[in-house]
Amino acid sequence: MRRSQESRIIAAVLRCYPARWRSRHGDEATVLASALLEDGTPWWSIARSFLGGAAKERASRKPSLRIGSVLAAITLGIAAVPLVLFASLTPASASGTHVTIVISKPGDAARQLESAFATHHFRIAVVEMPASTNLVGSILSISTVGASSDNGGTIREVRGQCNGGGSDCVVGLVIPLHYSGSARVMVGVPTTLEHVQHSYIAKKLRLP
Amino acid sequence: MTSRELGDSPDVLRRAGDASVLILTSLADGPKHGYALIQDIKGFSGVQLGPGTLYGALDRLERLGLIAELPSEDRRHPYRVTGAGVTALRSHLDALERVSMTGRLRLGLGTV
Repeated sequence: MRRSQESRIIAAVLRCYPARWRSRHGDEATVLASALLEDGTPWWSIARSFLGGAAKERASRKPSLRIGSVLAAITLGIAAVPLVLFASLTPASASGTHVTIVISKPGDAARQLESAFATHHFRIAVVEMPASTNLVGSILSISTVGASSDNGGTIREVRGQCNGGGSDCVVGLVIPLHYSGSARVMVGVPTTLEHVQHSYIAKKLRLP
Repeated sequence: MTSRELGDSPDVLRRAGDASVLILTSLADGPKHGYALIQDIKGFSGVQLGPGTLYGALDRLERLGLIAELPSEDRRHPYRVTGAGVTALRSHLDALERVSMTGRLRLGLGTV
């Protein structure tokens, strides 16, 4: 197929987009399509991508679909209210006293957590894991065993400032005072050359 | 500080789709227009982003306030990442790193 024919087909596909989209992106989309054709991207691949995009764009703006979504959301919301009320009254969700443990020294996070867990007789193991600078001193993951109803409640994360300056790291835990389950917490520590060497050797020897 | 249930992350990009993450990663080192985005993303990820997918993700990211459009140059509209976009990308990459490390540990692959 000649290039002019390919361009005409793509131009026709772009007309499937709503007028508002075309006035904003249409010009650039035409330039982009030409550049992709020059690069060797198949015309049908470009056309298919634009067709899919046009369908999603129209579906996201169709008033009847929006109203339908709003009505569905309201119906679900109304139906959920009695469920929420019921859940708040069940014994399983009744709140008791909790222990809040927050890491105050990222460089000594593992020791802080171990000490706090031991003080409250929690059966929670702490594992150190090499991590990027931003995650050093934060909790990377927590694995619990058993259902929260059997363990005396659910452990919640406390989020705060990351070591490297980001604002969304797990820096502590809120644990039910009578938490009886087992868990393992992974804490980020600086990656050292030793870690890299050990990992490299382990991979080569296929060690666990 | 805020307290959340396990797994209840404020990672706004978690449901945004791969295209959004790829676009933010590409814009992290400077503003780009559509064609430059597609080429850069293909270079660092091997993913060939379709133009329809690209525009859908750009509009979504702009609505979320994570990118902003710059004045057009020669019929092309460059975009830049916003401060909120940088924060969102950093949080998402941290979340991905945690998952990656857990997966690698469980598979016995080592963590680095």
